[in-house]
Amino acid sequence: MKVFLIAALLAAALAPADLYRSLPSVLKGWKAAGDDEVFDRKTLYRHINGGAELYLTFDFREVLVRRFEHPEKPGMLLEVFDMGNSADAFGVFSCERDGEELGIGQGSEYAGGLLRFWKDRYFVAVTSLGDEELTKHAVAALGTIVADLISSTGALPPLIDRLPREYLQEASIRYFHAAQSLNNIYYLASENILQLDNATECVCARYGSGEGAALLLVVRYPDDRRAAEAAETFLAQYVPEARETGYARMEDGTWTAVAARSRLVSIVFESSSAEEANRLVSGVNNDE
Amino acid sequence: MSNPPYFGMVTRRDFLKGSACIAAGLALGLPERGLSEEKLARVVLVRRKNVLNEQSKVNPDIIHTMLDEAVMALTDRDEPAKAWQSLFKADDTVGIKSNFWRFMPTPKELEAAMRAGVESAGVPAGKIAVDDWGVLENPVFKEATALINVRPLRTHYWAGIGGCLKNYIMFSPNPPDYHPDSCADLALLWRLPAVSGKTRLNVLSVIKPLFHGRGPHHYDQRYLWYYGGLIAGVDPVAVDAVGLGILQAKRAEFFPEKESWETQPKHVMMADTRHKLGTSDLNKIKLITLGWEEGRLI
Repeated sequence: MKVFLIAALLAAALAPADLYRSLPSVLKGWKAAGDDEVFDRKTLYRHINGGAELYLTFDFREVLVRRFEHPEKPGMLLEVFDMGNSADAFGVFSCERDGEELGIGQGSEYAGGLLRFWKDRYFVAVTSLGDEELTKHAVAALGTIVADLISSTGALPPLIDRLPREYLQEASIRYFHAAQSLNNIYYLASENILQLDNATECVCARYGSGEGAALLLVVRYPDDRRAAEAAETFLAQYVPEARETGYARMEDGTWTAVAARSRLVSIVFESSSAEEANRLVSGVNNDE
Repeated sequence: MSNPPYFGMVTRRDFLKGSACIAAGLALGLPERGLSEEKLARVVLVRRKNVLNEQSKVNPDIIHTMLDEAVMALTDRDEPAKAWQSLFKADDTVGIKSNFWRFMPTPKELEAAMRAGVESAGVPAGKIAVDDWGVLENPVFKEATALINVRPLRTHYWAGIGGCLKNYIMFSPNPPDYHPDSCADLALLWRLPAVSGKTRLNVLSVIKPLFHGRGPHHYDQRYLWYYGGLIAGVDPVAVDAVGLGILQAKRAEFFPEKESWETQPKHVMMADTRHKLGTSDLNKIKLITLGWEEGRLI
């Protein structure tokens, strides 16, 4: 029974080619202009320039880009990214959250003329190419149409469920794989001292409120050995004084704590107290 | 690519200790007393209050004048043609490496002004090309004896800022090779055969720079501001350092509490201290300012 259910779910997921064929060409006076462009892993940098690197750290497959023009108003740019799976679609979405939730897709945010949302394996962006006041309604409408075309939904990364819930700032949750992504969120080191790569999963989030909110980072490695090695490298190169107790005070007066259990390494940065830091790393669900 | 021995790894704790300032890419330096003018890198900043019209379109005549003024001040010539002739010869083949990022491309009017300047030096139109992504296949660029490097200045998700140094990434057959460690070694692009020794002029458009962005999409209208300027120089590191100084000043002015850089633009300092491509120390740069003074920030 379970096999049939899974097969049915897979069949319901919208294939990229089907989604692209269904995308609107006309919307409230805006019309698709020029040919659509499609960029894959090799050519993405031509479209996003330096930002391509982030997508390549996820399971990005390709992006369809469609430009809309209006005779009297600024244009819009629609980008539909096939991220390969819903966890990575959420991951890309989570790395840039800074706006108003518009209730589109499975998570969305709008600010500065840019609408971003994720749904199932897709990450979608709609950008105003001029004064956003003239296009905001159209940007939201286009996003809603595209979200509705994606009939299926996808699961959040399971690693998120391991985060302790008390005092968690939900909007601060980030999911990623690579060291550079971590550095963009929270600069740690010029070298990859946590040994992150495409096989590692990372989630981080802030706890508490206002100034001094602690940051919890949880990394899931492919096996126990890699987790142990990474924890050792981190301790040796970043906080050797935490080796005995698992926590230490930093130069700015905040506390860092480290814990490694089976395939997980949990680290707290910028905690206001040793007690809080230890509570957070202890609160991570390590059951494998 | 190995680091010089005195650099090594930098961690967040080094910043907390205050020992990582040099490696952070911020242009620091003690005042060099008695540094003669000829040892200073020359950079020109020219601004106009009205380079954009009411429809936010670039005025082609004004930007042409600005560019000529910048080149004259840079080369110490009193006529535009003489200034351009001091940079380019009639038998040169010139590639103008522009930037086509769809959200903030190099203004076409600025590209046109550059073409006109190079033609005034006697270079035939057929031996001048403007390109970005296609430079490795462009026949003019393949034969180029001289390059102009031009783009709008902005913050950049992966490198901290997108300036002169970053603009040459398309000369690499594999751009991701230069992305590790926040693009710290972008200066190595300038050793590529297609580039090495050819750049005669670097220009950053700071007409409406982007001083903050979020994530890889990065373009955010809330963080554009009208500055109305061009920064020009022969030393790309010095030009980037001046641009970086302007962005830093704007960020300090705009954010009530200091907003940390999404990515530290340390490649500018590394281009100086690690790769010796040019100077990033504002104390070693002679900044010539022309035109509109209000809101100059540096």
